[in-house]
This record gives sequence, C-alpha cells and structure tokens, in this order.
Amino acid sequence: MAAVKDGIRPQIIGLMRFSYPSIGGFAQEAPDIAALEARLYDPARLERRFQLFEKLAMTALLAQSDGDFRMVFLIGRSLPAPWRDRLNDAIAPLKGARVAALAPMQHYLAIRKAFALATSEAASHVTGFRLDDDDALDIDHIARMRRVVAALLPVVGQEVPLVTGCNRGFFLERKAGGNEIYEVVEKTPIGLGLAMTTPRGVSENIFRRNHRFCGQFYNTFTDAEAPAFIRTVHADNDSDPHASGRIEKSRWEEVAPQLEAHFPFTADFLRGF
Amino acid sequence: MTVQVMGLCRFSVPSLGAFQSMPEEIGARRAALYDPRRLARRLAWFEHVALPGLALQTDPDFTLVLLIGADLPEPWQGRLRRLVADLPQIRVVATAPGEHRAICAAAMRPLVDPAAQIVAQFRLDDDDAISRNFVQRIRRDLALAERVQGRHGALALDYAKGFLIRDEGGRLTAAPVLAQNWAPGLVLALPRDGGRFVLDYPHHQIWKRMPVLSLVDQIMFVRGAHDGNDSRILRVERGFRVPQEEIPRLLAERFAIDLDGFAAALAAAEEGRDGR
Repeated sequence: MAAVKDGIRPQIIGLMRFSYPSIGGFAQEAPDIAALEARLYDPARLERRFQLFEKLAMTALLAQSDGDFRMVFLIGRSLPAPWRDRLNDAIAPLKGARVAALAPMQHYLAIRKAFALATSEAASHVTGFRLDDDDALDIDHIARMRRVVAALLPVVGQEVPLVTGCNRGFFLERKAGGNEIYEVVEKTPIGLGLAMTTPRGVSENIFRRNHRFCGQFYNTFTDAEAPAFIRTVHADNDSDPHASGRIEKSRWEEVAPQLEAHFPFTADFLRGF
Repeated sequence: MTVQVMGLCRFSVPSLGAFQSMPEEIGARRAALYDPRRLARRLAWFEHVALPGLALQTDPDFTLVLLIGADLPEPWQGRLRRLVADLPQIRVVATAPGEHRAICAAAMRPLVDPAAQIVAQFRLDDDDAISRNFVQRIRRDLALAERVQGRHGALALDYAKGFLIRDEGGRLTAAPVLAQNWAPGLVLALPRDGGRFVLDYPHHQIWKRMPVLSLVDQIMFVRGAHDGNDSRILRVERGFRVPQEEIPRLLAERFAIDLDGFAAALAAAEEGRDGR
C-alpha cells in the first residue's frame, strides 16, 4: 500500500462475484434460492465459467505489473466443495486473493460485506473495482488505477466518491468456428475494472449504481487511450453484450500487436480457445 | 503549466454548416437569423443569462471571442457592442460568411497566447451561462489534474451539474439537471501547439478522443431552452435535489442571473418595447 502525498494511503480491492446466489443480483431473476443455486451450480455451466475464469480473468490478474492489490472472490457458502477447491487452487498463486463465502443475501449487502472483509485498517481510502469472472484486465490496469486515483483525489477532494475507469478495449465473441474480436470504445462507463475510491469506512462502493450512469452521480474519470479490457461475449452472459459507444469487428492480424502488447495472451490463443 | 482560458460565443453568425434547423441557402439563412424579433429575444438571453456570469468571473484572466456576422444589422450590432464594451476579456470579432468551423478557428487563432502551453476552450451559446467561478475552477482543476492528460496532452473537464432555464411561451422555469458532455459546461484543455480548437471536436463524441473528467460537485452551467433554440433539449435524464424556492437564489449566486429581471426583459423583447 504505497502512500501518496498528504497521508493518503489507498488500498486497491477488486471484487469478483463468482456464481454467488444473491437475492436480486441477476438480470435473469430466478424465483427462489434453491432454483437459483441449481442454475448457478449446474456443472456444465460452472465448467464453462471456470474455463474463462482460469484462462482469461486469472491469467490477467496474475500478470498485473502492479501486484499490490487484494482480490475478493465472493461465493455462496453453498458452492459445492469440488468447485470451491478448484477456485482455491486457481487463485492460490495470487498474493492478494481472498475468498468471501457468504450465505444468500441481498446483492448489495453481500458486496458491502465482502469489501469490508478485505479492507485493511492501515488504509486511508479504498479503491474498490469490479471484475466479472469471464473478463480480463490489461496488464497495467492496477498500475494505471493507482496513478489516476492519486492524481485525481486532490482535484475532487478526499471525502467524496471518485469513479475511475477505462472505456477502450475489446469484446471477444466466442464462436464455434473461431472467436471474433471487436474493438470497442464505450461512451458510458463499462463495469469492467471500474473503480470507486472513498475514504475507508464508507460503505458506498462501485456496485451501488448502474455503472453506465456513474457520471450522473459521482465525479467520474474515464479515459479511452490504452486498450484496458477484454470482455467475453458468450451464451451465458448475464447482461447485454452491446457496447454503449463505438464497436467495430476487427481482423485478428490487425489487432494482434495491440492485444499482445497490453494483455498476457497471444492473438492465436484468444482466437482459438 | 501555463493555461489560457478561452471561450467562444457565436451570436447569430450566418455561416455554412453549423445550424441544425436553419435554411441551407445563405441569403435565406441570414434573413432567418436576422429577423428582428428573433434578434431581440436572443439579445435578451445574452444580456440577462450569458453576460452576467462573464462580467463577474472571480478570475478575470480569460478571453471570450464574441463572433458576429460582419453584416449583423443595427440596432442590434451597436447594442451588442455596447453591452460588452466595458469588458476587456470579450473580444468582438466580425466575420464574413464561410465554413463554420473555419471561421470560428480563424477568429480564435489570433487571440491564442503564444506563451500558453494549454488552451482551455469552451463554447458558450448566447442563451447559456457559466458560473462565476468557472474560469477559476478550470485553472484549479487543470493544475491538479495535469497528470491525467491523454497521450496528446488533451483532457476534457465536463462540469455536468447545472440548470436548464426554459422559456415556455413567456413563462420561465428553471430545473436542476445532471448531464454528461453537454456543450455548456464542457471545457477542452488542448495543447496550444496542436493548433486545434473547440469546434474541431463534436462534444457528444468527446469520450472517443480524450480522457474525460466529469465533475458533479458544483453547479456550473445554465442551458437555455426556448422556441428559437437550434438544438432542442428533448428530455432531462436526471436532475438533482434542490428546493424549487432555492433556485432563484442559486441562479443569482452562481451566475448573477436575475430571473425576474430576465422575464421582464424577455416580455419587453416580445412586445418590441426593448428599444433603447
């Protein structure tokens, strides 16, 4: 937790919901918890999610140029043991990884608890970001987040929430005959890697509002320079895969240099996995 | 970092392009723009909405280019010039018709300070307003945000909290509004040596071109909406909580706008009683 000036010591905490059966968190709401768990814990579904999680999301977290962050994996206490073991194995190499296993509860309440469990007493501020289990950050994401937050806290003030994010990246559409790649510049903030910085102890976090509308509630910084994310689009997606801004299908050979410069993947791997 | 703050206000300039709802042909466009009743109303908006905040900026170190057509008829041209005569920051530039972006850039270019590293540019329609601390905020925020400028040194400051003043058939209303990347309240901090001007970037696509810092902590702009508006404001997506009875005081404090005085001036303009 490197201190920046004025005694500001932000702690970066990522939060990933890993098939957590919350009450009211999914766009496709199931009628009761048992049915929701049955759907979330369907072995074929979990196998598909683990494939993306292990190959994309975790690989990118492990490849961060700045490893000074916590990553909380929010799971249900009811997640069957073999899957929980597999999760523990996958995250073991990540220094800051923590599992928060919670009983089913209202979505935002669970999120708040999970952030609270990971917060260090030594932090003056918490920079909490969101990441889904099927998406990947660019390798400089945490480093950039730290730099931007340190630069902007003096502008917006230390006491009010600051939202920061990156609007340029890629969509990876999984297809049987070979995956497709799209270059994307979002107009309104994409949730992937979006962070909110508040003083420690403030329970408000980046999941409080619809991420697309953050700019109407909080001081919000977005840049569109470096490609900062790869979002997968697949049959299990819980939310709308369309971009809010510009989206263009790209040729793999054209985007390969950018992909390989900013992510720990080769274009061939992304195309074929 | 040396920052020059420069605004552009276009007052009924006959040009090619630019307007979304004006005749294409320049003669017809000029006749429509220079219709006396229209000019009377627009002058009332400018005098009572746009001008007070400019005149009472807490940081007087800025330039506002007030662009007019060289053929703006009297008495309007004289009245406009007299309104701004005592404000050294406002530079009236009269132009012949031409391609819109080009004539705007040509008006701004000679006023760019060669010593400036960053030219912080904003556009101000004649029926919009900036808060009295607008220039001061720009300088403060840019000084602190220097490290988040984009690759080419550009950064957009998007002051997203303001008021919408509507003239609905002579009845004035003011409503709080939170809106990202609207033209009023948007400041583009551009490196001087890039030679780019505010109109080179469509404000609604600014998110593609440079980092954007949206700030919602202070009420910073007024946007006017009325029958004569070129771009209609169809709906306000989101407001913020403020008691209705507080709004006139906030308009006075933040923008030096006297809503009652403006209503009277607008009524006089409508009735042709605004001669002076």
